[in-house]
Amino acid sequence: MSYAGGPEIVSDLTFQLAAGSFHFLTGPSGAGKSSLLKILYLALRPSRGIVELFGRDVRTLGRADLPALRRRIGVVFQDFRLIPHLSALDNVALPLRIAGAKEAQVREHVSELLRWVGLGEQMNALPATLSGGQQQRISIARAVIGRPALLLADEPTGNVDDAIAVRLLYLFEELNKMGTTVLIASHNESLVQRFPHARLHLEGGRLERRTA
Amino acid sequence: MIRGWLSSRTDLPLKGDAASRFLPWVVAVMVYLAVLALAGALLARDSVLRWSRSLTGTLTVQIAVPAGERNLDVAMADRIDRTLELLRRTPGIDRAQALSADQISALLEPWLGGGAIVDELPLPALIDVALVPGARVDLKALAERLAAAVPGAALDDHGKWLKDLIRLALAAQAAAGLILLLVTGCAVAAVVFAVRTSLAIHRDVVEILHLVGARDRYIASQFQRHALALSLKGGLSGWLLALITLGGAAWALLSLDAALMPRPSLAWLEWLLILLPPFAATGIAVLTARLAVHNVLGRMI
Repeated sequence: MSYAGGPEIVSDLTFQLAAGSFHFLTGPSGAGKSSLLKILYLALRPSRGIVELFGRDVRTLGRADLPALRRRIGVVFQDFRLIPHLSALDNVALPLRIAGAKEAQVREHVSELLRWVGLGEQMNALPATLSGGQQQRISIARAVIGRPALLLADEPTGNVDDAIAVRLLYLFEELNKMGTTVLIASHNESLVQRFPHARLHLEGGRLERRTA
Repeated sequence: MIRGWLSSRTDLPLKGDAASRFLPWVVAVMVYLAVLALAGALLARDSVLRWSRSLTGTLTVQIAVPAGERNLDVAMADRIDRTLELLRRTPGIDRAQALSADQISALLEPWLGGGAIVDELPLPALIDVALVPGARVDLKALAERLAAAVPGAALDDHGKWLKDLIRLALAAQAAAGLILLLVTGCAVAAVVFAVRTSLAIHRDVVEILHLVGARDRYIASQFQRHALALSLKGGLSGWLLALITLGGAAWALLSLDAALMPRPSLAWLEWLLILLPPFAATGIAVLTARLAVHNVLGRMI
């Protein structure tokens, strides 16, 4: 994978995430974790190589095929990527509304999830009025609200204190127990060690699989 | 339902967009021009039709005042009688009637005013001729026979005058068509510009929507709704302003006492056409917004 014909950020990586598995993606800053995740959540196309998602080779997919696949993927972005003029509730509701869910159900499910992540009082707040940690929790709630088949999280606990971080990882585990495949990029070593899941370690352009 | 659709929540903050703030104004001006052009073309067409209808099947024979005649009235009466006799003997002519001096004066009054001037002028005699409906009369032969039988008699079938008028009306219609075309082009360009600018401004939001699974049509529908609301607002304003202008022009025309000025009136079907521009502009804006959004999004991953 390279940007605009530049040097390859990651190359010759071969790995498979079994359906229903839980992995951490670790590695030093600049190792290519975010780039790898971008390829997986279909924000980037690999410059070469084969990427298969849900049994489909992404090279053969047209633009019209992407939305259906993206709806099966929940993404927690490192920079949250919340829509600034939408309230916390509307941001989290986005995947459901895009999928055409009924408004009554949307409000019920979103409210419940926001309460669960501790933002029951901030449902109508705009992202700019919330702290970094609160915005991150909204981003996580948006990623999981549609019960995705694959959850990709880029440093999802980077802006929250340890107690909240652990609570959020429990949420990911709950989701994983319901069948969601989870891949979390994190450099929080102590947190990663608290949860006994397999680890993909990316460093120097090489990927190493480490069992818990 | 439309109100609900227009006011429904949007994920893109298009309402406060500087890029589309001018759109209602552009559409208002375009619709204003379109309505005026359309009304002008329809009125021109109607006038020609009306003139054509009233002149079809009629002829006018003009008999010039003979020069050097001592007894002018007797000479003119003789020529009129001979002309009438010839006309009445011609197959295909239903009626031939000489216009009285008062009738001729009334025809000239709008230009020369009434009274003494008209009475003192050596006016030619006019004979109004009506043809049998559907009859084919050889007008060229008739003109030759008239000229041979009555010195100074000339036949006018109004063809040249009508041809000029039709040409004028066609030119007016062509100009109106060109204006409509230009106006449509401008409206399309304005919408494309607004949509492209909006998409550039909100690229981040569009990207997020894509990444959470939005299809292009979901994003396009938000632009379409926005374009619909703005262009409807602008279109109806421009339309209202154009109606006021047309009303003013009609009032001014009606207060003119000119015999040849057309009485401005439109048939109900033509009023329906006049009603179309704001909705056509809205349709064009919505369709253009949709195509422009799809065009830009199609180049994104």
